[in-house]
Amino acid sequence: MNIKYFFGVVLAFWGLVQSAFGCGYDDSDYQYYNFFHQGLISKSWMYEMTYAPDYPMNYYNTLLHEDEPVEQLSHTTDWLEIFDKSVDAETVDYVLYTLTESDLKVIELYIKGNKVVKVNDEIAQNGIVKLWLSGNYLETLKYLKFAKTCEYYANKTYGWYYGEENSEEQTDLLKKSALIEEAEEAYNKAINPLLRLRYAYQIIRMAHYTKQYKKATATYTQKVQNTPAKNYIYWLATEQYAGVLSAQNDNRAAYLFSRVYTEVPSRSTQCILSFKFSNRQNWDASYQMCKNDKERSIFYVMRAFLNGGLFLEEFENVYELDPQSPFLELLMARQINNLEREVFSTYESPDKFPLKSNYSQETLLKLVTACDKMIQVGNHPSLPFFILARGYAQLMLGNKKEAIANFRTISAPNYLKDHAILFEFLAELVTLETIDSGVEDYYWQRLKQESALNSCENLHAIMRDVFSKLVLKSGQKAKAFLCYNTPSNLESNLNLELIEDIILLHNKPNKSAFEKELTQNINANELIELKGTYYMQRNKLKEAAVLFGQLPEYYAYRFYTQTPQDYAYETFNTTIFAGNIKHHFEDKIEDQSDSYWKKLKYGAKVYTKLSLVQQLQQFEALAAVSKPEIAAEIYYALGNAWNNMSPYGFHRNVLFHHATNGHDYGYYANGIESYGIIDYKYYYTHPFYFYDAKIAFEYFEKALAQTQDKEFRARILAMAAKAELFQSYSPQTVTIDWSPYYNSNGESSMKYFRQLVEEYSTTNYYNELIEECYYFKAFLGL
Amino acid sequence: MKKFSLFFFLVLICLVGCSPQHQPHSYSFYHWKSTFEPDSVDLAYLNALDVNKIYLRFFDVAWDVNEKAALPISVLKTYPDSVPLPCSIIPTVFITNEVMLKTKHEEVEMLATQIFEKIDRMWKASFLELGEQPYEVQIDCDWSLKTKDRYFKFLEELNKIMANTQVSCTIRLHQLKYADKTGVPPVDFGVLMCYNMGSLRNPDESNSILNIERTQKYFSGTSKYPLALSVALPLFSWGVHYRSKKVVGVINGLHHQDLSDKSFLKPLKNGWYKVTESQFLFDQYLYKDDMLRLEEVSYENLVEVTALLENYFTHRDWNIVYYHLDSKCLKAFEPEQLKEL
Repeated sequence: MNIKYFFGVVLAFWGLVQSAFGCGYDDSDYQYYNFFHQGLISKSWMYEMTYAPDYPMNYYNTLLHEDEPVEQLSHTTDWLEIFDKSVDAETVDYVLYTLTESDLKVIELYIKGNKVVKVNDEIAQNGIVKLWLSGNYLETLKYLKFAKTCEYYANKTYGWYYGEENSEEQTDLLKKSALIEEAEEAYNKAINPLLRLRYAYQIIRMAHYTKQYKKATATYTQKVQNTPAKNYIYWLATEQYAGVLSAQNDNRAAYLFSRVYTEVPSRSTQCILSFKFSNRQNWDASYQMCKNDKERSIFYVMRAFLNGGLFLEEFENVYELDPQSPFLELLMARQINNLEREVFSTYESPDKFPLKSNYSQETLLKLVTACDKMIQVGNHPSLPFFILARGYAQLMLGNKKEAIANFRTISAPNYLKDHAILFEFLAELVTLETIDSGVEDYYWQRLKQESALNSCENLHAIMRDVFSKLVLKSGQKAKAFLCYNTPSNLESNLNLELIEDIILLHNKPNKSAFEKELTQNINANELIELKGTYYMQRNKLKEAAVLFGQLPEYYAYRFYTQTPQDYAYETFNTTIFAGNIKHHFEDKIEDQSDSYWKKLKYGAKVYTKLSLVQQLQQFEALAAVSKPEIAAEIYYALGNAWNNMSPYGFHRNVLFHHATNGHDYGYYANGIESYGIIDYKYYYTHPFYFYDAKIAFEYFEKALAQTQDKEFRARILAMAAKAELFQSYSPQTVTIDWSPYYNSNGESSMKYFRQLVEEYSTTNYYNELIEECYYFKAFLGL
Repeated sequence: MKKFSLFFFLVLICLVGCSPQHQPHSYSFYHWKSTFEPDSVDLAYLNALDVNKIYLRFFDVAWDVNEKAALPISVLKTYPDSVPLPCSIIPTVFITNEVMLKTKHEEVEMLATQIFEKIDRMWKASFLELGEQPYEVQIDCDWSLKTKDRYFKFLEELNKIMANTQVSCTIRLHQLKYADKTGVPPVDFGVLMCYNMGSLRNPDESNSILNIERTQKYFSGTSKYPLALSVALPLFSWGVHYRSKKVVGVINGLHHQDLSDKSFLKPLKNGWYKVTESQFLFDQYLYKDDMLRLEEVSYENLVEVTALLENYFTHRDWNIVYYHLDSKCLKAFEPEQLKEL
């Protein structure tokens, strides 16, 4: 076994990672394995920087560890400073993020002693409100009220009114200009320099949004640029100013965005999106503004995150300028992740497997070299991280031994050690060549019991992939199927061999732990019902009756509701034998059926699945011994039943045709087609359920053979034409010709319809058909 | 189209077959930008082609991961007072297929109501002088087999709510070719999108925007679509940025004139360029050895595709909707040329 099997397995199962197995990311688009988490980077403050415009990685990875908290600049840190740290962060956050503009207006009245105004306990007990009540920091209240007003005009609110609510006001330049004037006045009156800085920020922001670039520039240069406080609002004002410069194609913009990116990680996403260059000259001009190598290296970090950025190439650039840069970890993690995305992508077919392409091999080798460079530094703070990365790259290259040797050298920190254990498990798992119950249980128990492994849902998924592939090689189709499916998935495409295999596995004595896991939620009655329905779909009623006879009565009729797991149990009635002209699913079948079916007085009014099969059998038997006119009626009723149980009939649920309208489209959950459990060539050309219209045709033909009553024959022909129409939607017809008379070979494709029109136009039923069916009438040109 | 009947499809074929002979086309434009502020170039084309309507994208509806709900994004900003409108406005809404995939069946009706109400508010805020309500709205969604049911139900609901307004929708070429599988949407008529027919990701693709050979295949042996159709034709161009045979990005609005003075791009055959030196090109950073495939649409291409369409639409009327009203796109075509198609 070589390690290429690792990728062979992975690619054979590409696209198999279902949302339930995704590492915390509930999205159907997530379809590749991600073992090298972004959360492995050591600096938590950097975590917000894992965003890239083309791929928002930080949506579904969480940091895998806690490191020494490094306080980041934020509104909260600024406001703690403004209140001279006399209140705590929670108190500040409550005022900043919970209280609304109206709340602040009420509080203003409250502290002025207005007795009509009442505030709740939470507000009254807030430390800042108490400060205001005692007459301190009152100018902060004024500013906060003003800031909330600005926020209303500056920020987008998402919802169904987004983009239109108060659109006149939002685009009202005058209002924003008025806010600028108000801020300027307040700036001049404010005593606290930190509040003055905040008013300046609001001026720049409003001026930016109203395209008053001169005003914004003047405010920034005069009121912000040289302020000693390099706090959060200073950087927000700088970012706004960079936006103003960018709008004027000024090369200083990119430099300032890079500064904000470095100083305020929470703004990194926006800064990356704004980091733009039209050509090399723009880049060079901005780059030359950098004051030292650290600043220069950030340019390359940010360029890596632009759409299509090459992380490894920029890694080299950053390393040359700043070998100790903490951003090297970030770039490496992203590079590996990009490789995983490429290697395990659902968009690739196995024959384009990246390891066979020079590009991936080359990238992996470069990646190993880059890690080696970092490791050779010796005392580099990120040493274990790069050893882990090198090991994983070796694993991807197919060098299992070297990979494991790397993993085993990692003893600290714990989160990296745990991940090394996980990778070693992965290396062993994906290189398995054969499997037996002992091997299954060894891996399954470890996965279940070891915390380092159990929490990685991707590992659960790949284990099922590996096991499924191996058990299929030894002919255990049921196990392979159950690695991805529940028996209810079979409803969309009943396969007798597979159903019987699952029954055998379910009844197997001395199951392995993994087999128990696979079969623990299987309901034996469901398997019997599936098997019985398989026979019923093919009109093998004797076999179906024997199986349905083993079911409890409540299994009469499973009615599809919202999800395949969510059923209600109901019985169904004799309308199954009705021949309705109209076919309008929104109305009850009783209301649109012809009255003829009511004449049928045979059998029960309400059926279970078993009694329906028995009724069908009795009808057959009765027809065989009845007078021709009676036999014709019975055969007509039987033909109707098969129409009504077709994927297009009112009683389609009986034969599990309930999902044909696009709910599931007849394929099993991922993976099965890769194994050849089912011949899926048929599925690809005909994505529908098994449906054989010939059964209905046979009954209508028998009915026609038994009666010469022209009226009745017209009725039978109309329902047979309906079966023809249903057949035209069905898998049996490879190409559908919409022509009512002839198909592409010039053969008659709607013979019953044609016969009805050509030979029975004088019957009452024909006229009834015209009256009842507007389209039929129009078609006839009436 | 709202009710299913035994002979419904058969009848449609008949009705279609009885349509009058082909009449000269009328012309419309899509407007797919975020601000509606037609400039003098736009107006000149609108007047020269005697354009009767603009399919104006009002907003997109996308799935919001945080809210776990469908929400409008990229809402159009309009400045209607600044421009005298020479034609009708058709509110157009793009809905991502993901929205249809994730919206529950029972929530479809609410989605239709929300979209209608938003269109209605935006209409009344900006286009009331054109009438109390638009006479047509258009929905653009690349529905799939999995979303067909919900999407069609959504269209039916919209039809119910907007009883006095026509509802049209876009039809992709594969939906035309495989109508039996993908279904026919319950709308008053469709606009066949005769572009983006190739695979952008395929390095062997010559032009994914418009490919005459492929167009031929889509129409060859394809039954008449049981719904009246207009046809959308492309006027846009772009550059597809490749690295190791994989698409890295797309540079919109790129024309060959933009590349003629770029020394870091070595022209190869069939619209391909090789990057000889790492460089920025319209905000996209191209690394050395990356490749660029320029995809443009010429007037001659449009003539060819129109001939194919005439053949497919024998005995049926069809109108042209150009994609899209943007001076970058328009500059490659003279108004007279567009009027000749």
